Amino acid sequence: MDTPFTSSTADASAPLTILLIEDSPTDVLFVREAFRAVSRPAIELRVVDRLSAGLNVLGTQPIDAVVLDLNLPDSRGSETLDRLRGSFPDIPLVVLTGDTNLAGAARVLQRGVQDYLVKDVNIGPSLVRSVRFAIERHRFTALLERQARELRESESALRSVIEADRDALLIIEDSGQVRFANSAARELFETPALAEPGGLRLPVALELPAEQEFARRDGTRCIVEPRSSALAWDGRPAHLVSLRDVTQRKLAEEAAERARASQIQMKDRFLSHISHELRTPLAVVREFLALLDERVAGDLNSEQSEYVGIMLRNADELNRMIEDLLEVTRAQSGRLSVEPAHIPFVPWFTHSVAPLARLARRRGLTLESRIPASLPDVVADPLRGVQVLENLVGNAIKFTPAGGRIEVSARALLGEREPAAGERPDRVECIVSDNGPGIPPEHLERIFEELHQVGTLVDEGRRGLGMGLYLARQLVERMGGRITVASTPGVGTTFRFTLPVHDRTRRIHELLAGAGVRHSPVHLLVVQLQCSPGGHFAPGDDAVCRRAYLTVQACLPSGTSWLLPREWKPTEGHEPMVAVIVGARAEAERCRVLALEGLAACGGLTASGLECEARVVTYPETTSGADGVGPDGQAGFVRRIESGIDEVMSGMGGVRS
Amino acid sequence: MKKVLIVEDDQDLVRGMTIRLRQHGFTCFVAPDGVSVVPLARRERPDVILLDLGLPAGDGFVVLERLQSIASLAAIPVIVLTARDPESSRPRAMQAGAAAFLRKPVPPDLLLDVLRFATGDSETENRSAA
Repeated sequence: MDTPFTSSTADASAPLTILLIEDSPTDVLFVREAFRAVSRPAIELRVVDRLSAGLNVLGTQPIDAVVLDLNLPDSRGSETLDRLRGSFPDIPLVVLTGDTNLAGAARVLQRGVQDYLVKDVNIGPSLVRSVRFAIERHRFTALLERQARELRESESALRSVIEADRDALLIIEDSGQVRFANSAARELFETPALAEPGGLRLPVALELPAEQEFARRDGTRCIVEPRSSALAWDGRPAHLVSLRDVTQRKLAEEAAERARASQIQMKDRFLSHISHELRTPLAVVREFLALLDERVAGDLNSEQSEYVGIMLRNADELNRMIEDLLEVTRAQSGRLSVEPAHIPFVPWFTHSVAPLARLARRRGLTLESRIPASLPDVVADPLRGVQVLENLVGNAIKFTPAGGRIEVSARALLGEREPAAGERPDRVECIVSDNGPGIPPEHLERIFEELHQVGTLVDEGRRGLGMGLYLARQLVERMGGRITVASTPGVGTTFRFTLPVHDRTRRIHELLAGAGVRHSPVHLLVVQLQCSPGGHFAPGDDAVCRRAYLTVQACLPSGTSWLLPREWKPTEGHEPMVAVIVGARAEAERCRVLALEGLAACGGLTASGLECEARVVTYPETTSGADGVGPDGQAGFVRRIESGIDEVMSGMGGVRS
Repeated sequence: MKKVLIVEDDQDLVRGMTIRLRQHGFTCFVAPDGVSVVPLARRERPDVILLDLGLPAGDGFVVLERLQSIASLAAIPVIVLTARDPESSRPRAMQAGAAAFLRKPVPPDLLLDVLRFATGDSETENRSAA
């Protein structure tokens, strides 16, 4: 037999030493004969005839396998096996026996014997095979045991890392059952009953990556940053969830934020106080200058009149600067109030530019205003819009030498270009240009930046420039527009800003969405405060202006009571007030009552001199279902609201809508 | 002739306003502090009250609320005229029942317009030198 004795996994060339413990010389001969046929690897056979001698050899020499007869002069039967295994539990062992009792064989094999052979004349080949397998099996077993031990060690290392991790780590099955929680997790939550479904309810939403807050067992705040990743756990879909406790960091951040807020508040209070203190004497100065200017205290000669004019202008300038200072503070703390409303552009623009033209004239400049006869209505805060125009024209007046020319104009745009015939513009651009000295290119890009950029400009005598433009940009952007500047030194400067075009249909859709009307039953109310023909546009007269352009201000489902802010109460001004109510035809009378109640609640029926009207627009047929928008859906609903508004408007003598 | 009650502690400003308002046909009474407003209003029955918010002996808001709470005075329109930041004081004043909110310094024409509107006085022409 020349087949390799061992498998390829072992070193085939290393010689093997086999110990035979056998007292029968005949059997020894058979065994010798059997191994003689094996040439590779070389086999060295040691033979002893007693167990005690065998144990002695095993204790002193390297032996690869033992072939053992159970019945020996100094030990018999299972006792032999017990004694050998007691001292050498791991040695590969093949038992030779004359006993053919199979039950005995089974008993022996259960006690760690690799093979059991009955003595026979032809035992040779099977003995060699048995010994070979015994050695091989032993090697495999040892290898598996080592691997298992290493695995146990590495798992325990990993486990200690996971346990020591200060992030809470959990493995949660998709069913919600928590399969694993490290010590940080157990500490964070009530000790979860790991084996019970739903044993732990996490107070955090894992699908959200944002920081989340919950109360700990002791009631203190805990803020965690959750991370979650999918994995399979015991073959089932699960999530590995890690929760990082960021409470300390967040508390520190919050404290810093509070400190910052209180600092800003202190600065705001201080500036507000300062402005109040400055305004009071300024009001007196201005009042008496105005009295002089109006000749209340007697005539002035032309020189005196000129001086008073200069003082008045500068008092107004000082006033504006105090106001800008307050506004910048508001802008920096995000409190710049902008109340966009629906503005008929052309009259608004004309009225706003008129006083600026007078101002320019007084400074020896010409201001030309050129706008098309018709431009679409825009959505903007009328007073803030005026403020932007004042700032831009004010700058042009300030920096253009006497005799210069300022031009203000406006045009409709669609995106960046002028719309073609039939296209609807989406913005109106206002343009203010002058033929003054221009702005150096290196200052152009910083011109809309905050106060700290103004230093160099102030040094160069451009007094006040910066605050006004910074505010202009803030205001234009808050109104959904854009402001740009282009300038050529020696030629002039052009500022442009845009205002979004009013789209009544879109506005109604927005209001409907905002009020959740889509899902409310039957009624809808539109309250409208309209500007009267030739309405008030006086800059500064905000009490009147603010109310002049509110249109389609609210869509309320009925039964929500009258949530209109009290500020809407039209106590002064001449704006007619309109309520349009839409409901099913069967409900028409109830709608009319609601509309009138609504007007009364807004003060519309009690304040004198106000025109009020309620118009009921009904569905073509009674609606069914909870939707309440009518049989032709949202679009049809909005169309009916719009036609209702148009009807009311035309009935009021051509008031703009 | 319409009567205006001016509630204002700055004597210089009172003088200036009084001169102007008389020029335009108003009769003026002055309350230099918060406490004298109600007695003066009861006695003189003004058509309109011009109210400063920062006053000695009684904040303007307190005065406004007192006026609103007295049935015989509640109907008199109150125009708030202040140097305070309107951000917070305007809504508060309107909430408390002010008819209008004006800021110092107020353009003379605007003040006169608002006074005329508040007193329902349309016969007085704007005689200011424009």
